[in-house]
Amino acid sequence: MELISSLANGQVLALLGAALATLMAGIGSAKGTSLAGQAAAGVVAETPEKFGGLLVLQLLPGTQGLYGFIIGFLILTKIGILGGAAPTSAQGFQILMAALPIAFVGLISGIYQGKASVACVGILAKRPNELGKAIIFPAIVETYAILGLLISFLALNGIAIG
Amino acid sequence: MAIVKMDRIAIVGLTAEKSKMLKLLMKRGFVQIDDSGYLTEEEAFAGNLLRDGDDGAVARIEEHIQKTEQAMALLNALPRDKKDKKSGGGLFAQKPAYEDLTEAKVKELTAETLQILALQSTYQSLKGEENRLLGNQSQLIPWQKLDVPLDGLETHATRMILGTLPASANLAALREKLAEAYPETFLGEVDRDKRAVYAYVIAHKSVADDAAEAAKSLGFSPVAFDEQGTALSRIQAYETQVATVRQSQVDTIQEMKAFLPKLEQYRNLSDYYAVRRDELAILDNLVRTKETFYLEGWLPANKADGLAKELKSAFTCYIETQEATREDAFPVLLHNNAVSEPFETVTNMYSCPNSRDIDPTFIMSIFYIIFFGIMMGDAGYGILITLACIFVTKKAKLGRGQGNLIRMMIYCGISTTIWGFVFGSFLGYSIPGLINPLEDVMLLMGMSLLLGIVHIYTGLLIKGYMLLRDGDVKSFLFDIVFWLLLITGVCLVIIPVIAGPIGVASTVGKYLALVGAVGVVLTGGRTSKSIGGKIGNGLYSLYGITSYFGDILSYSRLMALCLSSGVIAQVVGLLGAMTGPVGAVIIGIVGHAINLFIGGLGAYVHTSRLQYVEFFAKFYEGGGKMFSPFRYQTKYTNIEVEEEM
Repeated sequence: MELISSLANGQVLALLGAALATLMAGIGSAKGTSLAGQAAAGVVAETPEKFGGLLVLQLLPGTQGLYGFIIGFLILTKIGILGGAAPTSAQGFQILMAALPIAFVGLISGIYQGKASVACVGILAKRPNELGKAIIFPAIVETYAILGLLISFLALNGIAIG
Repeated sequence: MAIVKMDRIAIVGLTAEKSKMLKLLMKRGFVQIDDSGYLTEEEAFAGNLLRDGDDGAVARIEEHIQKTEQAMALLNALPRDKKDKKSGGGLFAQKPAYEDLTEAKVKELTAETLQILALQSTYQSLKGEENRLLGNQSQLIPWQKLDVPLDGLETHATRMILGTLPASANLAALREKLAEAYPETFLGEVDRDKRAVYAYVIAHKSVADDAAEAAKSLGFSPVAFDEQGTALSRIQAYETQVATVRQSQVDTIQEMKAFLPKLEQYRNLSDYYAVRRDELAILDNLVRTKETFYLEGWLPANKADGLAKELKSAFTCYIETQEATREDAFPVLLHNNAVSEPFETVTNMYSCPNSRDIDPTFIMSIFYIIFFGIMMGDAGYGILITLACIFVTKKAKLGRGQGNLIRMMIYCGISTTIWGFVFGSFLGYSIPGLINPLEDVMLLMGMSLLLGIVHIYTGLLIKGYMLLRDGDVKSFLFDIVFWLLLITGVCLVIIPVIAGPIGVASTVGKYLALVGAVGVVLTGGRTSKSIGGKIGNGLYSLYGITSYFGDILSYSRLMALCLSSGVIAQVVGLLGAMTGPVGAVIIGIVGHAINLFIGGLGAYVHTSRLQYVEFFAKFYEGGGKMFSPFRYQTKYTNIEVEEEM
């Protein structure tokens, strides 16, 4: 009984939101940077001087994790864990919902951005001077993670607690 | 803010003066020499006109360059003493000045590089010798207990055959078996180790061969040595030989090291050869007759008269220059003010402007600086970026065209500092500011989108200017003005819905939108041939409004990245505060360094994206050829060229 009532606790729900945002976006970035890193390692084995540019390409899918982390952190400061007050059940549920855009978009766009990065590692391998163009392709994918972050942030910002 | 005007230049000169004139052009370094080879294909010249060029000579010089590079690589790979290391420059080492070498000096240096290569091959053969000696020696080591000289294994009537047996062999049993077959035979042991038993067979000469065969069938494998004296004495002899060879190696290395102080001169030599090669390679682009040559190319218009005068006074030649028009597809050289100049990299990274384009660098650089500042949005980070980049620029003496990214970041850093104060953020700590990104959310969002609208309008207006320049007033009105009316109108209609009433402006907006929309629908399909196509495409072009609003919303990333770097900076501060003063410093340094790097990368990437995808798409064609003048191109040395553009 206590378990069930704790599931409807606002703080627990909000914490679930924070966990999901950090967790899923983090997984997306981990997968994305891993894909890009594996491809980059192959190029570095042949031409170590391209390390700098390749590192940039590997880092590009890393931002989703940061976005998820930001939303997670902002939730914590709002719900009485790092500051703020404990939310009601309804508010907790709202916060959970607010966390979902960056959670899902972060997970999936992180992986797909990683794939775009992998392809762009190929550009850098053959034409080291085209780093600028190689960076833009994965950056386009990131747009949607940014949009997810914005909606999560705006929603979270709009939920009043207290 | 401009693409430099170019003139076409054509020169006919005397073969006797050709190399002198090319040297002068190379020194001036502002003439691009195009391939004139097409002239030889025009039949009118009936085979009198030949393509110039000497591939053999180019290849010979290439070989010299290669050898010099090899010699330098060898010198660089030499183990160095501490005092040698100091001469090795540093991160910010300046390239020395290029010295035009005399022929004697070239000969001397070239001979030295060849000597270095020879020393290297001596060293290699000494290494081989050492390995051979060590190999021989190691074969003798198991036999060192044998006190019979290796060249004295035969007596008057007997022969001693050396050989190995498997380590598992039972010597006594084997000895018996052998003695059974050949009674006068003896099998003895010299030594044994884990791998084998080192043994000998002594037999009478008359049966020695047969006994050896019999022993072989028992697992005995004979070894023969071509040595004189006992194994032990040979081992010692080898040792002294190896020592001598090793000493020779050290001497060779020392000899090579003697050339180390002249490394700079070899670099100069390599550059000297590279310049000579370029001088010869450019001949490929020239055509010649028996006594004359012809070259054509491009040069900045403001230098044309001066060069023509200089050439005419120094040489017997005919020169023709002609102003290039936009349609000539001339090679593009950009010229911008000191602040915008490093941003040419950003433009060229997308695509070099073509001769009909407007150089977008200046306007783009203004937006670039603003956008970057908003995305980083922290005064502390801004100051760090600016100081670091100024430091590197001064220290490495970066001039025009060098280290563009770093010089760009000086201005972006300043902008970051300013925006940091606007947002009231210093290394994540709150300081009094005008806008609090975490509180004044709608203001920040509105500001981002407004900047986006300004950016996109600027792009459209540049396109409009280009259309007017080409006298295409209709397109200007239909494709630019109507759209500006429509977008402005729609924005004015939307704003009250989101941000509250704005009075009469929204009514004005309604009419603007209406006029714009009607205009777009009526004219959007004007290129279609049939009436139906005109109507259909007109209506369809109205759908383009979605892409404009997509573009505008894309600027919300300004806000998102500002929040993201700001919040992470805050988190770093908060974590530091939790761990006490020592932890705060460590976490602060590591955390801010990471955030600065990732945030800076994000700001760079997304600012570039806004320029390329949202801004350039409105007006910019690109695809031009970069101006690549015939000039000194050196790898290791610097050549001062007067700059006066």
